[in-house]
Amino acid sequence: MKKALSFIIGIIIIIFTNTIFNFIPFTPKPDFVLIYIILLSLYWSDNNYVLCIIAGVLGFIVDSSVGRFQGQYTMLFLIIAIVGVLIKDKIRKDFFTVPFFISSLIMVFSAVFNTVVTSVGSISYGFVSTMINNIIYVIINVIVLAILISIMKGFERIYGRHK
Amino acid sequence: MIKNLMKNIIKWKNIIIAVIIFLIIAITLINSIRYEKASSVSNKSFDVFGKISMAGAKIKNKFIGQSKESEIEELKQENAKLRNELIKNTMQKNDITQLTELKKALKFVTDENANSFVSADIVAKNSGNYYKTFTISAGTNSGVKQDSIVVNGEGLVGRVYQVSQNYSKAISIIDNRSPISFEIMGRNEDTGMLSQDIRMAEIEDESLIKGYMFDANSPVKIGEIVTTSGLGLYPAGIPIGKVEQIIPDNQNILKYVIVRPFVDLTHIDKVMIFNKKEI
Repeated sequence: MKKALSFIIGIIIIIFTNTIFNFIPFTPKPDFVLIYIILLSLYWSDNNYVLCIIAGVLGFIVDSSVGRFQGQYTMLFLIIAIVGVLIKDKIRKDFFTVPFFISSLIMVFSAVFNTVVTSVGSISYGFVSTMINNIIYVIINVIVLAILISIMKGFERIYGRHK
Repeated sequence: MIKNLMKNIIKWKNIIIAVIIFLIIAITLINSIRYEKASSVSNKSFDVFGKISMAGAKIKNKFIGQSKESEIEELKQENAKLRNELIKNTMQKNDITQLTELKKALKFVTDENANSFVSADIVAKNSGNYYKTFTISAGTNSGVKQDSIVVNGEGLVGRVYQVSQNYSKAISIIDNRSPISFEIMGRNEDTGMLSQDIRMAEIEDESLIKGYMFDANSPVKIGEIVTTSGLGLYPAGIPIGKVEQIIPDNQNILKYVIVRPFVDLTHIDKVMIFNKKEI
């Protein structure tokens, strides 16, 4: 049930992002699908293979729906899921800073990965504009990540007290 | 020996599977970058998600009122009509006669097919401010093919690069590696090639297109209008944009131009699609 729900939420986020959120005229926009995959990978407590399958399929859907190159997001999401599987039990998730720092590192990796694929595949923009765009992309996503992790921690605290 | 090998395979099973999966994805990605081709599985899932996206687009239209947007769209189309008339009038009569004669002589199929436009909505788009990759609500059922040309009231938008039964994915001119031959309006001997693949000239603003003039001594000026020249994929006379910057490269005897597209690539609602001319 939890696995199916995680997958369905992923699909809803992809559809919401592609059809509604991306049309809203403001910039820079947070990448909600990527944020969801990062949080899912770090806080997944079920079968690790299922996490990798969910991440891979969601990546494939992003590639098929509005992706420029087939395989770009499938590979990125799979890498994030595998990294999540490898480190999630080794980090202290009860602190805010640890998952936040790791999520931020994954975000930087995603920005570099997407820049490399884009510049190999299509266009190379000037170094300055690429750097600025990536820094803004990472900052905006890290802010949203921080807010979401704080909300999750808040829920955890309330839920823990009631328990 | 075989027993040992089998033992090792079982021991490293997970890593072997992961490596195989990554290799398959990497090959798909390289193939997609190099040939811009999508697999049939991808086309099928694209169709399914196109339908779901259409539902999402309907919800968006319901909540975000479109009355103001449609008014702007009408004005844009009127503006484009006037611009097209200006371009047609500027083309010298002699040139048109010569071109018609040439076409007859070479037995070219005329551009009548250019009149059979398919009008469609944009139902999904890439993340980011600019429309680079977007899904259009028309597919093979409406006559759309790979490399069909996408325009709107303001000018050239891009081309179709993946097509399924009911939907197609297009890439805009600012994310297009394939070259667009152009001419300076009113001087059809002053031609060049626009391509984002040119590595020599770098652009900092992702809303611009780079290109070069065939003649390094071309008298091209900033502010001049650039239209498609009719060579290659795109028929002649589609407005592309205005020359924003000229960069002479004396070392390679070239003249680079940076063009700002007429199409507002931060906001597109409806597009028209037609098929490239068949020879």
